[in-house]
Amino acid sequence: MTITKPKVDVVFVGFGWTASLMAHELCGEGLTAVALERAAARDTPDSYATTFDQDELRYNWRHHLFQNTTYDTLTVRNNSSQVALPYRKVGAFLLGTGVGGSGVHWNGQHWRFLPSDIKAYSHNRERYGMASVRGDGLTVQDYPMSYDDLEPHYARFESLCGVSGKAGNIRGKIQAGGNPFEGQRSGEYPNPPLEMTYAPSLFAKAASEMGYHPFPQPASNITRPYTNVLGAQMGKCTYCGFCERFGCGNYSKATPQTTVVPSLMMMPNFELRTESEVLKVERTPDGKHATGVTYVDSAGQEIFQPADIVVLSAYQLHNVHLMLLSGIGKPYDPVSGEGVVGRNYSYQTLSLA
Amino acid sequence: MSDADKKAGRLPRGGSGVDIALSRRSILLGGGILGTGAIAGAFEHHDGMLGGPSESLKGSLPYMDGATDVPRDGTSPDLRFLTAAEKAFVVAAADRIIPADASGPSASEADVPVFIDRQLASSFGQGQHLYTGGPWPNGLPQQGYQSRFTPAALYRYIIPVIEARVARAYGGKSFASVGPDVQTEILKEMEAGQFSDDPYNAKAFFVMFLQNVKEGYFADPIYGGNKDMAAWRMIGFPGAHYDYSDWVSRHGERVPFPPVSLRGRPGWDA
Repeated sequence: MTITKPKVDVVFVGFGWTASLMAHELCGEGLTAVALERAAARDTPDSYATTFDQDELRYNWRHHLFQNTTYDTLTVRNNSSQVALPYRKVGAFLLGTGVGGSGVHWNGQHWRFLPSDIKAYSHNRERYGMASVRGDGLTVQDYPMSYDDLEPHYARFESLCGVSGKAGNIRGKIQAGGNPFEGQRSGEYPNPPLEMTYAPSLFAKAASEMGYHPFPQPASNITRPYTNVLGAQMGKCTYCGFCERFGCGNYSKATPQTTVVPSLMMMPNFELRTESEVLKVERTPDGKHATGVTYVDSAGQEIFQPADIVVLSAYQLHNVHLMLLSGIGKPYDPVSGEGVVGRNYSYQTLSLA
Repeated sequence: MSDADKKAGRLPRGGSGVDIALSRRSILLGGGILGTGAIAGAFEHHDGMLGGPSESLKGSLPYMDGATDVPRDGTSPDLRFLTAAEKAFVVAAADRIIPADASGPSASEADVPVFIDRQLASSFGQGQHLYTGGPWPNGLPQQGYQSRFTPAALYRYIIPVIEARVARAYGGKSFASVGPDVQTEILKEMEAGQFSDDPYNAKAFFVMFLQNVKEGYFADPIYGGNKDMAAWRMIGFPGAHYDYSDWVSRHGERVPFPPVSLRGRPGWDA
């Protein structure tokens, strides 16, 4: 017997960066919102305190903060001629879970797109020809907005996170020590860049001597005591060395918990439900509108949460999975190129030194 | 439901070892698949599995003093998995992978077999964070581990297979008694997928065993290996210091501190 909960304006599926930021905006506008998170609540002092967060075996090799593949995993194949098999244990491809999602275990590399990244199709076609965007089955597209449209939002999120870095271009003026090729910024980073350890300092020296423009990477690892616009206090990074795949017990890494969640939780029109796994997006009989989601709690109780707005804010593959289970959209067919659900999936692509 | 009711009705979020042992997760999931010795350390909170109570949270994320998610799994000296015969194999094979030399102790001198024993008895051995459901075709190399065995089951299955083969070929001797050259030869066959009695599982075991030996040698001593932090001293790793701020810009200088372990820090009570 499915229980029906009182209707809310917005329901979020998964409670990481996306849901916490959107919920803060929408609840701030007066909407009521419920976030459903499949795993447990966790916060900095009880889940990865400084007294035990520097544990390579537990977090890196035993995958303590990642999706527990014992119970739920994906299948993988390199192309459609292979048989997809279970992704049995986490490797380089990391699936997050729990309150804060992958925002808990991320490294803190806090890049903006370059203006050309946002116009990847037209920029590369103009510069390198059509084969660079349509050869080898490529499906590169432009985003429907420009870098300048996004700039204020980038700046706002960097301020929320207390990002450490050195600007290379402030309103068109090139700044020494920053990235001279970046899109123009409305201001300097909220905090100065991290100090360089030995290896990158050697790289920077060699690159400078060769006439290149090395610059410190923008990082959501905080370099001085910082209080963000929502009143969240963050601590100075101690360079302990345990960032990616680990939680930061020192409040030095921007996570949902250290930046936005405390303020969000205090809003009376927001509720977080943990151990609640969404099974399906429900729709009107004509299929055109979402009416809410059905989820199951840890007692096995099925619950319908009606909402005017359904936000799929889990990891992208989980969002796609849920859309397919719910009969939403047309699945992407790599042979015909038709369908958009699951199209153009890519894991993070980044090169750094 | 009031906040007070919620607090009263909520099961302990971690806490003492007793709380963990009696948690619903152990009861729901642990009873059927774990030996009694393993339960206390096997399941931890916050590790991304369903099974805790659903909570409706408003006001703040919950925090219960003294209920932190400290490392217990695999840290208890009471955990035991390996039989005497299995242990003899593990000692001999681990010492082929890391023999003693002038630079540092052997795997067994660093208590790597103790580490492996505890790991196999705890959640790693029992297959936490490892999907073991079907299907079980061997798969392509790039599809990774596809065995249906949990790590503990793989150790338990493959060691007798190896020992039977050794006994057949070497007049009834055990792996531990055939000497380093033969041991190395057998391990090489396993690594190359040429161990004819079961090449697939022998190779899967070798890959896992190699990793476990390295883990036991270099992981924090709270897990039973890296005795006296000898492996960290060997490579000059000062351990998990809280604060390196004063050292980050002193490029190329040796950090003179002796290594530190998580052991003894506040909050770690195993």
